[in-house]
Formats: sequence, structure tokens, C-alpha cells
Amino acid sequence: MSILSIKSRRRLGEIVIAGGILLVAWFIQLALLSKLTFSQVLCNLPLAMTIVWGATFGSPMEKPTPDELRVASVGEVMARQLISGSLSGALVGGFFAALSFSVLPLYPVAYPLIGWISGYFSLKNFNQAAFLCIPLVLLLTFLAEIIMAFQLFLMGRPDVAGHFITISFPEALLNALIAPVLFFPMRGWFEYSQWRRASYE
Amino acid sequence: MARNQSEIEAQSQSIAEYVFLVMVVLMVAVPASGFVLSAQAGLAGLFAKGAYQVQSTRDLAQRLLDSSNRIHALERQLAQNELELTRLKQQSRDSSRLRELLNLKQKSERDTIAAEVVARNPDNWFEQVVIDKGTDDKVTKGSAVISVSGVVGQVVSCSDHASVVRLLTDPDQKLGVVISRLGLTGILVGNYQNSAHIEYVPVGTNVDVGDKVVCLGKAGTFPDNHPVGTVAAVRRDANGASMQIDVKLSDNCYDLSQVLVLPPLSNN
Repeated sequence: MSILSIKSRRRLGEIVIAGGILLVAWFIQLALLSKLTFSQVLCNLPLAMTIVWGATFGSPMEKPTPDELRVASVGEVMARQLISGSLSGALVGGFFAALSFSVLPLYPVAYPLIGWISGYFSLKNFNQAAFLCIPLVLLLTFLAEIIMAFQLFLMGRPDVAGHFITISFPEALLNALIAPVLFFPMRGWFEYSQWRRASYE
Repeated sequence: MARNQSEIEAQSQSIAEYVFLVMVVLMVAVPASGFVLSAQAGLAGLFAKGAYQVQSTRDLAQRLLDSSNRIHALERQLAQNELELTRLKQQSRDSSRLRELLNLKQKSERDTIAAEVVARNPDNWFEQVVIDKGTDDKVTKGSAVISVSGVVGQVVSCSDHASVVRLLTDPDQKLGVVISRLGLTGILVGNYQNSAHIEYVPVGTNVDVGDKVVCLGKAGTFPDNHPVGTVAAVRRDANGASMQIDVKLSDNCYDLSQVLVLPPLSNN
């Protein structure tokens, strides 16, 4: 008799597969993409993947009903919006940040933060989601680089602003270009997992 | 008598009819047989021509197919040869680099560890690479990393089988250098993809573009007199109180493969 229930085993299997995919993405970034540069700027696959992940899987919170919205105050609505980020996106970002920390001299807080924030822009209910993920990744990459620059500025690293101007646009552009390539299989996986869950229940 | 006469007339009429009939048959049959013969000959020619056309088309198609297969085979062979050529060129480059590195290793009086660059840093903020040697190979934190053409950087963290090297292009990396022609010392600071610079050089020093910049090596970490770069520009800094010297690094830190690691002298 197994210790874990079928649901737990299925969830564990999904987590292991996700971990494997993230590790493969990390090694691709380290060994392959780090050699392909556009005006000496690298494409950031982990960051792009974190954003697309957060936007695809979205928030686990239920949508508020019109009645709930009607009686809620502005503060409550804002608070609800703030906590409706993507938990799995934040975890994926945290995983990548932990991997980065093995190489970089700091823990890049921008990764989990941006994973969480990308959950605000859930692409689950959009027909043109594959197209919309391009501007979304572009903007959120900018935001992630702003957070990273701020963190480095607080650490006292020299010439942060100048370097931010140099790298942010090419990196955001490169990330945005690969976003649909990441989005299609991820949405496929999401839909498959939804279908499997529904078929079990 | 009259009856005989009529019988003879009837007989002669029937003979004439037979003769006429035979003549008609002959008149029709003789040209008809010629027509059949010519038609037969024509048809046979037509068939022969058709068969020839089919045969020649088939031969042509076969030749085309053979040529296409041959082209494909030759293209495959060409691609394989090109791959082989690229591989051989790469091997030749690697062996040339390794030979130069071996010469450098033999010339060096310090302990050296040959290492290979296996990865670059995953983001655009830090100028770092990962090498395939770690503490198991006696690489320690703070070890200098050099190549044949110049100083590459310094080890900032080590694990058992790998180490992270901060490149000279990183703004956090600083290096004591000397302009060999003048004996002028300074501290070189990286500046990402742009030229590195030596700051706070006294105004009036006679530094020229093209002067060689080498490693000072007084602290026992970096090897003394190992090339670092050449002076690319000399200018006053923002407040005008001192000069800033831009240095073009001799090693292209973006195309590294084999390097030498020099543990600090205090560890030897």
C-alpha cells in the first residue's frame, strides 16, 4: 500500500517534471545561450520562463463575485489584487534565483518577485494570448531589470544606471522574441494538467 | 427454238452478272488490301514511335533520378566534409592554444592549474565565467586566472569541481597594473564591454596611446609583468583634477576556452 494518495503522487510527479524542465532551461542558459549575444547582451531564458510561467498558470485564488466586489472597499480590492499573484511563478522564480545564487554574488530577488507579479496578468482567458505574451514579457523584463538594478545600487555596485540603459532594451527584446516559443508548450501542459485533473475528479 | 434462245440469253446474262460481280469484288478488294496494309504499317510505326518515346522518357527519368541521388549523396558528403573541416580547424586552434598555454605553464615559476571555461554567467549584470577546476584540483578563492594573451580575472568562489571567475571586465574587479614604458602604477577597473580604465593618474604624466600595460604583481596573486592591455585613450576625468586612462584589454574575455589558474603565492 502506498504512503501517498493518488492525488499527492500526481502532484509530486508534476513537481518533479517541472523541476527537471527548469534545470534543463538553466543548463541551456549557462552552456548555450550565454554564447549567443545580441550587441554583447544575453537573452535571459530563466527570466522569460518565469514570466511566461506566472502568466500561464496564474493565481490560485478564486475570482471575486460581482457581489463581493460591490461590497468591498477600495483598500480591500487593492489588497486582494496584491495577493493575487502567481504562487507557482514566484516559486519558479525563486528556484532560478537560487540557481543563480550559486554563480552570482547575490540572490536576485527580481526573479521570484517578477514571477509573482506576472500572475496579475494571467493569460488564461485570452484568445490572442500567444501574441499578448510578447509585450508582457517585454515590459516585465524591464521591470525585473529595474528591480535588479535597484538591488545592485543598494549593494553599491558602480555604474548601475549606465549599464541598465545598455542592457535592458536588448535583453527585453530578446526575451520577448522567445516568449511565444515558451508559451505554446506551457499552455499545452497547463491545459493537459487541467484535463487530467478534471478526468480524475 | 425460241425457248433455247431465251435460255441462252438468261445464261449469258447470269455469266455477265457473275463476271461483273467478280470485277466489283476485285475492284474493291485490291485497293482495300493495300489500305489495310498501309494502315497496318502506319499503326505499327505509331506504336513503335510511342514505345520509343516511352522508353526514352523512362531512360531520361532514370537518369534524372540517378543524377538527383548522386547530387544528394555528394551534398551529404560535402556537408560531412565541411563538418570535418570545422572540427579539424577547431582542433587545430585548440591545440595551438594548448601549446601556447603549455609554454606559458613551463615558463611560469609558480604552480599553475590548466582549466577550461565551461559556462558564462547567466545574466547581463556580472562578468563571470565558470571553469572546470575546483578545490579538488587545488584551486582556491582569490587565485589569479590568466591566458596566453593576458590576465583574465580572479576566482571568487570554488566548489569541489568548479570555480567562478570574475573577469577583468567586471566593474568590481580591480587589478594593480604598471605602464611598463614609464613605470607608472595604477589600479585598473573593469567597465563591462567598454575599455577598462586606470583612474586617478596624476595630471602631466607622459602616457601615450599604445603604451603597454602589464600586471604589477606585488601582492603575490597575479604574475608580475604579464600583459593586461594597451592604452587606448588618455583624458582628464570629470572634475579635471586627475587623468583617466582607457585600456584595451589584451584578452578578449568573451571568447575564452582554456586558461591557467595561479593559486596565490601564500598558498604554495
